[in-house]
Amino acid sequence: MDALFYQLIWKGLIGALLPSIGFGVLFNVRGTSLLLAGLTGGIGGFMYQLCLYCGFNDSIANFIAAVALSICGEIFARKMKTTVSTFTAVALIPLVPGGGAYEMMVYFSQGNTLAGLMKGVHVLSVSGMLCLGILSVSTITRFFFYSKRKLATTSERLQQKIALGQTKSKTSMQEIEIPIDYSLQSDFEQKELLNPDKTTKP
Amino acid sequence: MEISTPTASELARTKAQEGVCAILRAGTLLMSSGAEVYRVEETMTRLGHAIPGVDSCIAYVTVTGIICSIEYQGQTVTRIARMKDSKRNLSIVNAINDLSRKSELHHYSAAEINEHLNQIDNLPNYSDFTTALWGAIGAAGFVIFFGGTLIEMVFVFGIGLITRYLSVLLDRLAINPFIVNASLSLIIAILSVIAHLIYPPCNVNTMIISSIMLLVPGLMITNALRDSVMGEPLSALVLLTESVLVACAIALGAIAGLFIMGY
Repeated sequence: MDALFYQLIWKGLIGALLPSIGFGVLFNVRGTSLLLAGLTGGIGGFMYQLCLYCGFNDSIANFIAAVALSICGEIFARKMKTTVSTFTAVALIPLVPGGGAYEMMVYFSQGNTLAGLMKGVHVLSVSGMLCLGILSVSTITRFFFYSKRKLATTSERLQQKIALGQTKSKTSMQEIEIPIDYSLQSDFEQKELLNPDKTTKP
Repeated sequence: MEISTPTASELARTKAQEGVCAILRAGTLLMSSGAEVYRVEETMTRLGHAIPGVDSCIAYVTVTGIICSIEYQGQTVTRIARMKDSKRNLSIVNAINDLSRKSELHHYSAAEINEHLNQIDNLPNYSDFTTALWGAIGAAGFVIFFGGTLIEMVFVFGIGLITRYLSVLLDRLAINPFIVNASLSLIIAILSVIAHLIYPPCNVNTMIISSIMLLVPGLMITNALRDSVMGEPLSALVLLTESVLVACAIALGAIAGLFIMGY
């Protein structure tokens, strides 16, 4: 139990939280976002150590950690109304295989080409896993919010039609208000969301 | 001598010029704050289309340069910007993203965009001392992440403080970034061996890797892969090559440091 605590909380959570906050300052993240970015990094490190503890290999552990931290990033970005990369770029720092890239070049410069190549492929696979994790979460959230919005607009339209058919008095002139989700602003596909005359007009 | 009044086409041309300058400025600012290539392209196109009267706006962004072209009532103006170095400043990236979102709602003109960019340019930065301190704390955190001891943490905190401070100094001298990285990692290696000599149970490798995380381009590799997935393979290749070269410079510096100290 003590060893588990050491690995998960101390090594994973604290060990990833401190570098995340440190790099958040280097990247000029400010205020509450800085603390939340640190927390995102801590959760990523925690998941990584948890996966290692459960016996997954390094790449899968990185993938799961990236998924966890980008889910947190998406939630925090919607809460704080900033871009997702404020949290993910900072939180990725502890997981990113910088040490591996350095070790690879050390092996190469020592003449140990085979070990260097193995390390290089490992570095590429780990960073590929990290970027895949982030990408899959952002794609799923985009799709989720897109379909949710579509559903909302179609149901509004249906309700309007029904209302028009039954009572032509007031519901036909009713303004439909759809809350604008500002945190989606980085997505190009969400353009029509910010364009009020497209969403409100049936 | 007579002063001719500007014709409609000349007016349109100046309008297009103003627009292209403002958008290019936004793109340059974004790119030098370390935004991803696809995000810069997207933001520039959105800003351009939001300017009232603009028929089409095309931005072509790579890591090393930006081309932007605007068509305003039949007059096309194209401009190029060259990108040199980039630092990460996520608050600028955030602010410009905010600006592009607002400009889609309010349709800002070129002058208004310029005004907002002036404000964004003056966003506050952390002082050198604060960044050095937090960089050192981050490096000390890496010792925990790599499973080191508390005494190694203290040493790495000191090494990180010195490294960050020196890197700020070297940035001002505008030396080649590869040389800067190599010399910084040389200093890190020398200091780590000295720390090991002071207190022998300290592991030199843990200390070097933890402090070197301040320099290594790990995020660059991940961003390069992300760019290549998002449809920017050209920039991804450039970034990947650059990150490998930076890692090479860092490793050479560290090996030279270890060699000098006879470790």
